[in-house]
Amino acid sequence: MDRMSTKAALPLATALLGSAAVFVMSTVLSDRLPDTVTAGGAVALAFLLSLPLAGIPRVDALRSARRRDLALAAGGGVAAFWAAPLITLLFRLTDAPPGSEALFLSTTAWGLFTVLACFAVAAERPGFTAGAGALAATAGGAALLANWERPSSFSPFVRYPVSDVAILAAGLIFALGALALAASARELGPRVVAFLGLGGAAAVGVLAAIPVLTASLGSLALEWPALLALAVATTAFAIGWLQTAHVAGTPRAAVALLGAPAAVTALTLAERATGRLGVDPVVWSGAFGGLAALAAGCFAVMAAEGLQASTAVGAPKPPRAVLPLALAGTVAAAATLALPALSAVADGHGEVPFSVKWEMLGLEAAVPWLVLSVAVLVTAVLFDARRGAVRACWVPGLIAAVVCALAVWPLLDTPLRTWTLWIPAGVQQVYGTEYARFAVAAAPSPLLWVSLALSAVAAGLLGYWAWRSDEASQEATTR
Amino acid sequence: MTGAVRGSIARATAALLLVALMFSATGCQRTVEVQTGTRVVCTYGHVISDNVQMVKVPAKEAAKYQVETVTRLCDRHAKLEALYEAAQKALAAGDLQRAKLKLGQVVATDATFRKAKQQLDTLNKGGKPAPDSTPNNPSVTPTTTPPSTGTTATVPNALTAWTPDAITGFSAKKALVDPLSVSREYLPSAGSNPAAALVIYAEQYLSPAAATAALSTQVKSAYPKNAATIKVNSHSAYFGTDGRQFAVIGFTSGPVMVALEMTAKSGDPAALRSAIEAAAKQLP
Repeated sequence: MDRMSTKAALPLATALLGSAAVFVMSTVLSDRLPDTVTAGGAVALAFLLSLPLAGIPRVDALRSARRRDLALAAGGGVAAFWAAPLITLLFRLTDAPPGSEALFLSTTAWGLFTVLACFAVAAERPGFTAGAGALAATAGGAALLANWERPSSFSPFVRYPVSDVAILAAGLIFALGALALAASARELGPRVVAFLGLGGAAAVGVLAAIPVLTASLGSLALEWPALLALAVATTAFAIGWLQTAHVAGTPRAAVALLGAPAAVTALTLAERATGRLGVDPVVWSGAFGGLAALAAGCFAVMAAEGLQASTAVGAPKPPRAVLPLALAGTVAAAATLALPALSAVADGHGEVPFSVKWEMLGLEAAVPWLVLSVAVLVTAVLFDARRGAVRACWVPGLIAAVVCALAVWPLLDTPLRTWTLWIPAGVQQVYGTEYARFAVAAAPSPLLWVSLALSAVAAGLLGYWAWRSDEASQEATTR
Repeated sequence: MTGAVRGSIARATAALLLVALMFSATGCQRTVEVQTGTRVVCTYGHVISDNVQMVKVPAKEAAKYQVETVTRLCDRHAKLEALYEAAQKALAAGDLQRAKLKLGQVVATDATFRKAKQQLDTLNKGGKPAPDSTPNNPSVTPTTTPPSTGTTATVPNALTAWTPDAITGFSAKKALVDPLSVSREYLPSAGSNPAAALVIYAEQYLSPAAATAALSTQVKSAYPKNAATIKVNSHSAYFGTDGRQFAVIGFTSGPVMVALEMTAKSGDPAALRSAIEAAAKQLP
């Protein structure tokens, strides 16, 4: 299961589209139905829709299975397919948090949590390169969403910190549920786990929805098409996720969540194809930079070798000089998060005459996170190389690092935080109108370029050594 | 995982923690440059005085600093207006010599002031210009505060009585007015206000019974938690919340349904009851 299998391509694509569609339909249904009805109804219908796909397991197969595996499958399904989506619905209104924030926190962040959680389970443990790839994909996803519009509505943990933290907590629940599902699928297979996981979630979801079902019948009569669409999306996501996790590992299944912002952004293409055009708010130069970093990170997650692969005995180790360079690059990149990265101006000319200039820290900008991703990718490739897993790591890892480094340029003036707590709300509410403006300009710290240079040298040395090692081992094989 | 790798990870983690500490120190002490001061502008458009400057303050105090614009008549234009008015009175009384004298003084100071030059030229050619009866700068009145908000409606609307220009603790935004409804958003003036926003909405129905039915279907059913009947001025009103973020007071006044909706910063809308009652009591 170490290498990306072509058998996982279709289910992964299905899960990716499913995760994007789940987000979109959840937004549509937000505040139109009670949240327990939305979550329970969607997963109950998804269970029914999954039966022709996954089938119904034989009774004797269930009887002979260990109770632990059955409980893990059911419990994992409840956590991942009902509890986590329900918590997200409870803390979301249609635009609070804004769609860009909710999308990032309920898909990309969940994918990152899942990959990181896999380090705790030996059977699912990804390589360091894959973990670094998840970080790069997260940075790319944030940069993409921050370029959906200017001034951007993407400002996590500012206006709705409670909701944001709750959605992240739901992500932890999802990650734990995903690990439980993966553990049970190793014994029972994905079809049985789909039946038990979705069935368990459906049972709990329906029970939870019963108290408010009668009062919701009128709304259900109006909203059933949207609920059915959400159920179809949930089915696609669940079946695709389980199949991908079984064939290629849970970290690779997490790409379905990491890549969701790209899939939702692609909806604008459908808008253009149908001619239903409004003003195009997307800053495409920055959006493409974010997309590139997101894709590069996902590529590293998909293509890098897992830690459960056996270490090549007697494999040559990378040159000693690379480690201090890579670590220095990482520390320098981390330091830039605390240093100024953007200069910002906010002017209000309407009811609240107000004008302020300030420096935004690297933590609040896209580029320092990307540079950190570059450094972490190079360091991760080095650590994977030191344990002997060279061939399948250095190509995806270093390619991802190069793409993320190139993505820095169109993202130099991308803020990850537009709203603040200390500028009057009357000014921020009218950003982008004739009454107030918000503008940023790139002001990167020199340490940023130092980090990139260190990472580039380390990557160059590492890449050259890995290529030479690869050539030498191929020559030895042909002899 | 080899010991060397673990050691490297431990070293890197320690370095990152050090950086995190550095960040927490810098992040807590952010200072910003904010514009503050007073700009005095003549009603004729030019700046009389401007002491606006940028000052560095802690970020959390930035909202206290704003630019105040004061509009008043400057001394020079006050003298010009007095001379011009005297000239017009002289023209009306037929005293062309006096009018010529006054207009000459005006033109000597500002040749572009109103119609002084044209009138003086006419007098110099032996003609008799008509007095200028338009008032001085009728569209601009001296102010000492930022311009107040007004409704977007051009036709007076009785419903706008329910969305006043001032609610204590809030600043009003422009009202959205339709023939049968009006809504207005109010933003908190101070950071200590427990509300994130207040919206007042008033709608005219066909009859008092229809307004009462709307109150039941639109307000009571949407905000069923913490329900209570309260007295707001002379109205028997409904207080309720959605249990998560919003508190509402709704009542009817004849065929009009009025609703105030307040958003809680803290996530405890029941705690907004006294604040929303205080706002409602400022309505008719």
